[in-house]
Amino acid sequence: MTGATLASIAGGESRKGRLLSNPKLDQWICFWSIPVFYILFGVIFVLLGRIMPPPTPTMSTENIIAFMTSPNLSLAVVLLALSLGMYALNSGLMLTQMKRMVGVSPVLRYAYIAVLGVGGLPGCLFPGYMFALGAFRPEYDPEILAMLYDLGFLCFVGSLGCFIIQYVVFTIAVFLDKRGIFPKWLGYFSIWTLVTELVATPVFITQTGPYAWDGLLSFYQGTLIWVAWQTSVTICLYQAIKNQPLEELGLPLKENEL
Amino acid sequence: MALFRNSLTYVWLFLVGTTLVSWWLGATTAVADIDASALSLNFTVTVGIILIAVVKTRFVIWHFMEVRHGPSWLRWTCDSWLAFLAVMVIALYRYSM
Amino acid sequence: MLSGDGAAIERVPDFEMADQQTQSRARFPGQPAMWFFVIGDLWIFTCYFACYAFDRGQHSAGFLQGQLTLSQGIGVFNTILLLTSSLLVAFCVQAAREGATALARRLLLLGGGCGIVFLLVKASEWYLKISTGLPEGSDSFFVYYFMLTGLHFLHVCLGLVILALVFRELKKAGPPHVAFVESGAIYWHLVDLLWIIIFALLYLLR
Repeated sequence: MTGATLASIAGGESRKGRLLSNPKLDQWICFWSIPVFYILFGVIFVLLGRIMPPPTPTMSTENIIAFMTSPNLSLAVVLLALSLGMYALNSGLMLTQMKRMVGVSPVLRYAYIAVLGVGGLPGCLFPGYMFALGAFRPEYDPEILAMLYDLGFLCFVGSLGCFIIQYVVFTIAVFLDKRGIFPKWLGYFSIWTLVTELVATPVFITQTGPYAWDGLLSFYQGTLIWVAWQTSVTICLYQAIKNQPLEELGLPLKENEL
Repeated sequence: MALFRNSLTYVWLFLVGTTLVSWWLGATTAVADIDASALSLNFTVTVGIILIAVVKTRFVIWHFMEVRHGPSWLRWTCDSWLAFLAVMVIALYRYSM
Repeated sequence: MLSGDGAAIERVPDFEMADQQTQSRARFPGQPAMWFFVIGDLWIFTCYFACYAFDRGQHSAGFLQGQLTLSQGIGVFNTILLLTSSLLVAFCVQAAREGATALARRLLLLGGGCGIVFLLVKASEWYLKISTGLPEGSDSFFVYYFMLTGLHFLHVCLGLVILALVFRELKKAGPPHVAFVESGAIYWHLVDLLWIIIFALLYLLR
């Protein structure tokens, strides 16, 4: 509606004109950054870095050195350092939609963003840097690199406290919301992700079996459920943005403004 | 609302009774330094205990959760999960022994 | 105006809505979102049970060693406690359907009270276990023990929160939202059900 007048003056509506005149364009840009981020995430953690699925906690020192000095891992960490900030777009989008909830205090959405800001560092960035030290400074003592290996994975799988709070505030917000921006089953789904984060607690003490950081329960079940949750949230986010009425955007709709 | 002639009360009595039966079945004496290998692992007892637990669970689902009155897809989902649970636990236990 | 067992004839006409819900209850208990949660939760726990069964078979002696230090009597007591609380909550749903909200609230308090006693017994059991130390070679068993009972403990806590929300619903003037009460009860029965299985797997298997 905003750019329609301008576009029609220019002689027929162009596709670009329609796109640029979309009042929700900023949200859509942020939204489509989410799949881009997760494709990068997959490349970084699974394909290149081989951080997921994780190697065993009881790996021998030579294998640890081999893992950490791999050139693929160094490339993965560089990519991670450059792209991790993109997750902020996801958080901002969630904040915008959570803001629309009725009957929900702002404290929940502020806590949501704050806790992701806190959790992203130990959860993603620090492990990357620890592994990177092995890749970029192979001259360190193998014992030191083995320690960084342990530290990296313990941070990666064990950064559960922050994400637990993320799921708690999100669940509470979804259930308190009288408007149903997000469906109620998503709230229940978030309880499962919360539970699987808790199941990751034994990684600090067990090095073998299903509760180790490469275990069936602490890692595989948790990751599967988290992937399903993230997919569901992204789909629900798409619906929420699509269904958001234009009056709520709070944009001044001027006639000749693109 | 009758409390004592309620069918749910009978279900509860059955559940408590089977709990005691399975306790008797799996009874061990907790002694401080017992030698575990001397206590025989009894696969039949294990199967019995698992089956009793599954039957109890079915009663809870059927009567307390009222799935008995529910649509057929719900009844089928619950029953097939129960059957899967029983078979899986017994099979995995047997296979890994 | 009639409910399934004809008892509604004595009911006050104000509770027509409860009767309608009684009839619709015959088709689907509770709310679909709660069943989504319950069924998913059961499958998540099934993965834990699978890992437990496999590990138990592999290290039967060590697991048995650990199991022997558990008190089966306390386990049975806890089981009966939860079964009783489930019964009380089921009665509460029946009372809510007939519009007898005062009775329903009383039953709910008793049922929830049993849940609180369960938590206290569990916590003291853990405390005793940790303070007396764990026997050699049973570490694997005790990781499962604390994880399974710990997760269940959290489910009971969530269950108590849900029962509190049901209590608040029953306190409101006018006929209660029966599907909501049913959903809360279904979650509580899930908690009971999970304990039945966990009790059998941890305390009784040979």
